[in-house]
Amino acid sequence: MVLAGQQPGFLGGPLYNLWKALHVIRLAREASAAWGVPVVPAFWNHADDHDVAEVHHAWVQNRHLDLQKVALGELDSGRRPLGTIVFEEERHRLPAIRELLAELLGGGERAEAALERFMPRAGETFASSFSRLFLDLFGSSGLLMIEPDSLRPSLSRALARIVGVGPRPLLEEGAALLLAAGHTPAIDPAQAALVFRLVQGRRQALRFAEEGFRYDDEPGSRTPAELAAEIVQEPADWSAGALLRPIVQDLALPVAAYVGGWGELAYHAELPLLRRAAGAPVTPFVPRLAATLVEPTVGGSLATLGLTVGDALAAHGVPEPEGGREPSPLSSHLRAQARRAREGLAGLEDEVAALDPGLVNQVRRTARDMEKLVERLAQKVERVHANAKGHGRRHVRRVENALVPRGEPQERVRGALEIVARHGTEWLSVLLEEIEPFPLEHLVVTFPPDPEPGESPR
Amino acid sequence: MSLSVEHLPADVLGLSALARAVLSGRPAPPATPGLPVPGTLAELKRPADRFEADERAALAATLEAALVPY
Repeated sequence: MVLAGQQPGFLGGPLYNLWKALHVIRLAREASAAWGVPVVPAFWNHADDHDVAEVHHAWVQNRHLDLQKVALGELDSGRRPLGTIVFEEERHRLPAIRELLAELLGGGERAEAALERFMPRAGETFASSFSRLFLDLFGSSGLLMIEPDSLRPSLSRALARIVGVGPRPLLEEGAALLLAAGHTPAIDPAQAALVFRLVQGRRQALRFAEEGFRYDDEPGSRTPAELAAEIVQEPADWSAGALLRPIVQDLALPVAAYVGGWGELAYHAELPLLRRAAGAPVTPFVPRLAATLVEPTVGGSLATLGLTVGDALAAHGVPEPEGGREPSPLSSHLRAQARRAREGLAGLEDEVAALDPGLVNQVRRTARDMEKLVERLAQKVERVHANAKGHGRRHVRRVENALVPRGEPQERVRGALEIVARHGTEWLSVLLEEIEPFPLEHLVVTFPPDPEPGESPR
Repeated sequence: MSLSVEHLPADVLGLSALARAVLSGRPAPPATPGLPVPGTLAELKRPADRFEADERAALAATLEAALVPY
């Protein structure tokens, strides 16, 4: 099989989830033709993940062309696996969210059909809602959705095998090799949550400790052999953290290639030594398809602004006019405050490390998150400021929110619901034929102009 | 439906140093020792069969069964 994976997300998550699905389908098809054997395209629906805050919302453009956050109600992290969070009509505000989305999408038969597909239903979980949607979109192209619960015994056997070899020196050496090659390891093995145990429905992390592994709040530790034995005894309770998951997958499944993003490659690159020691195959990594969608209205705004898609992507937005925009003093104050707060937190790291070294990363993460939040606020302040002053801001907003929403690549922020609501699903089959199994470039995919009134859409 | 597809450089939105090193070093980037990154189908070798026929059949049955609710 050719495998990609991602945690399940509300409304199917960001567009790159779709790119991964299309990419594995295309690559599996090509590999099957070349090798003369069936090759199954598969998507690992990572239902074990517990980062609810990352997946419980979507960004949808409203009629003012601003991005609006639409989030499921009554969800907190709670460290519960996404596959165990069951949606309820009222508790998670499903009818209200559907109504809001219908309004944002502007109504119509296609929008209704898209909502029927994309909206999670009462009784579904994050994982089952995601699997249903992706099978609906890609099942006819042969995509297989895999949820870890369906393979738990073999996954836990694989996890026990990896843990049992004593992975610490192998991961540390893998990270050191990457560092020696001039690149910072994506995940620090010394700090990483490597293994999770499900305790009363919540995931508890184990990290490396002096003797082997320990829970975050535990004074003692267990040896690799002891932990491996625990996993074997209660296989239903265990799952791998991000760093060990690729090897678990490759031991449990016949994976011919893994399709993933650059962030994933950065931690796959730490694993070769541990793979060898655990007797896992060396699975080739294929960087995933990257693409930006351009709808006719965005094309029109680009033309009005005298820009190409490439201009807007390269500048991460609409480039400043000559002489620049009049800056907002308030946004500068906000950024200065955030900088001071970050420096203040950095100054406390030694003190925190003395209390518990495991908390230092949280201090850094908190500083990063805080600065990011303030940056968003500063950008919002700038937008409001520019709106009050400028001309043609609607075109700028439309282009930026479509192509580089929140300053990020479109594929990381925007989802497929709006596109399917306006253009149906046929474009996915068309795009499948256009993509390369080993993409080298960033695709810009432009939809045809809207049909004239009275002309029927093809 | 027809789509117009334009190809822009992979780094149009920016790429990490690691990504650049990997792209320029495929299929065996020195930046990621031991991790093959094929750039063509010819560089993606068919893996050895690690599963016996009955193991493959059992795995297929398990994966199929998991799809039944959908």
